[in-house]
Amino acid sequence: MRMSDRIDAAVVAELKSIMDGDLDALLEAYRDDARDRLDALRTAVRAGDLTTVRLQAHSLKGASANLGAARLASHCATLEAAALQGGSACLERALQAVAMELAEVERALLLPPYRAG
Amino acid sequence: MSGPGRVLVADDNRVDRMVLAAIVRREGYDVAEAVDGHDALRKFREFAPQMVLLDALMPGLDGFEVARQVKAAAGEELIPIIFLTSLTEADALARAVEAGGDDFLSKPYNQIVLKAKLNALQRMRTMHATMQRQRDEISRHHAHLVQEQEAAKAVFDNVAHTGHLDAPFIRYLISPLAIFNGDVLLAARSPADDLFVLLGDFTGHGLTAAVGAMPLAEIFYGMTEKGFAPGEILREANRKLLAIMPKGYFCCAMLVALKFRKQELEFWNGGLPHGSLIRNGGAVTQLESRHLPLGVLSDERFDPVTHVLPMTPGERLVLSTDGIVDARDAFGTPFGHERVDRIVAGLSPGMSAFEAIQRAVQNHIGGGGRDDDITLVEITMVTPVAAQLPPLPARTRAGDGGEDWCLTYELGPSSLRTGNPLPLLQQVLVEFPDLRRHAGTIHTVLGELYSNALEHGLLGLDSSAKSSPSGFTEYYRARARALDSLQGFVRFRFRCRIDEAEVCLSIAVTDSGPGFDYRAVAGGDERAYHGRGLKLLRSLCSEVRLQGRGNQVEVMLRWSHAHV
Repeated sequence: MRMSDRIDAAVVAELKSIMDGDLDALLEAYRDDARDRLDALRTAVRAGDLTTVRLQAHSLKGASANLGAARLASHCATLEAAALQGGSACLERALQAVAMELAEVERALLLPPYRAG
Repeated sequence: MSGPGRVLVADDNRVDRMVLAAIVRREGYDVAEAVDGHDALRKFREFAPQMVLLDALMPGLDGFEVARQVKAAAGEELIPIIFLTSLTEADALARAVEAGGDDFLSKPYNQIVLKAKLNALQRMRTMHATMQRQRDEISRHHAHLVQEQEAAKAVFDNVAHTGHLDAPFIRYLISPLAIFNGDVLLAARSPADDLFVLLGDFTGHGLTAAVGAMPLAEIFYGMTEKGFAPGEILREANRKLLAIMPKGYFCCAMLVALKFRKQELEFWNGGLPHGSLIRNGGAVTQLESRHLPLGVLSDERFDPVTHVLPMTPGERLVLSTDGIVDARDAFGTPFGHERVDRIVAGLSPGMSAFEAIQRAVQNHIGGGGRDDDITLVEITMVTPVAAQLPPLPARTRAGDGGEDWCLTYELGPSSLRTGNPLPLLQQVLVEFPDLRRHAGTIHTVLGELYSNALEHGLLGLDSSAKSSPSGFTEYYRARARALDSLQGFVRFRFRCRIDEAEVCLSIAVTDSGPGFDYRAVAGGDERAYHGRGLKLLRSLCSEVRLQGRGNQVEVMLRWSHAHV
């Protein structure tokens, strides 16, 4: 898997310009937020609470897109759509994809283009 | 608005909120952040933002409901709302628009895109505010104008009541606000029970037309009621309008007098489209304009000569202002004189010209066209009985010798010094209906007789002094001096006799002065009368006699009834 598919460098450059080069607070907020949402998603999927799954997936999708985590955003969209349709087998698979990709993104946040090499 | 203003950012996602707030702050706005729907409404009330960036999906109260409440609270003010949602979610887009969303922003956020949207919405806001202000201003002005027009119309209606237009043999069409498009339609009964109708069309619209209409109506009603002839009314109206109207403003007018007893029509047309007199056989006589409008010519050049035509019961008179001639169809073609004339000439017996013309004009201007500017009158000649004229008072027609009376009025020194007795005498005399018709002549004769008695008889002034400017001033100085030490009296004696044939009024004015030797110059030296106004009196009266020692003048005025 190439880095360029996971992280959209142009979005990160735009983000640096918006936040005046200082991304630390933002990245920290994203990490905390994303972990909370992943926990909430797991609980909701187990409980079959589709509404919560949809809202949490939607929210994580938006934040990930803003951060440049393009592939994670795309997995979140799949989960959101699955929650809307209501198939529980799909739901499990989509949640798994989100969890694995989030772990990759968390590692990427410590590297360029987020941090100076 | 100073500075870019305040923006509320509402999103339950902390990361998105941080990014968005950072972008908006970089554009110079004050930013408040809300973490969910309820927080958004609270911050909206506290922070009073001019724009709102709103996430669609939030726990609790969602963005659509927040948008509805924000729009409701904003009222007439425009608070633009940008929904934070992806353009791929068609359902959410539709709901956002329905809830009052003005624009959308999708993730990932882009500075340039958001800046462009903020600027555009800010311009929209400014424009909206300007428009509202101007709209309010216009509606305020409009309300004010309507109020003033209503007040002016109320005043005008008091002056120009349409009472006599409601007779069964008159049909008319005039806009309720005609006064402001310059049209005037007045009708009044004269003491001889003739019906006088004045149709006027002032140049211009609005206030100028309305201002001219007031005195015109007052003169028309006042003089018609007092028994003045159409020519006298026109002369006075012309004089008044010339004096009060700005240069270039005048009144095209037609005055018609329907004489039910004599079965005659008397008319004067100054500048209006020709009226049509429809004969019982269907032939049409046109009442052409042969004069300039009222308010154009000086009194000396004004020509009040009227024309008289026979008019028998059933014959109809159709009058209009140029509103009908000028009524345009969808292509701008005016209705024109010819169409009016064709309709009038093609009427079958008993058909109403009024309805035929009205219908044709309506067809011409097309459905929904306005006929506000159209003034149209149709008057049918009827018998005196049908005109519901009261029977004439018996006294002037019964063969019992009519009426006779005598009135003496004497003014002592103090009355002569302080007052002018003429208006009072004039008023008393015109109380008699038979004299009212000759008010103008009586007024002139009284004036001449009185100044003759006072200035020459009592004060002994020589009016030849008035022929030079300095002499003129000197004359009035001498007059004032002489008045101060005035002794003696002036006495008026009126004798009136009214019988079947004529009205005969004798006026004798005697002063207590020394008189003059009128016999010595009776041989024909008119200079003896110079300045005594006797020449004018001779032209007006059937007899002028000098009596006593030259201190008494008696004149005789005679009018036959047939001449009325």
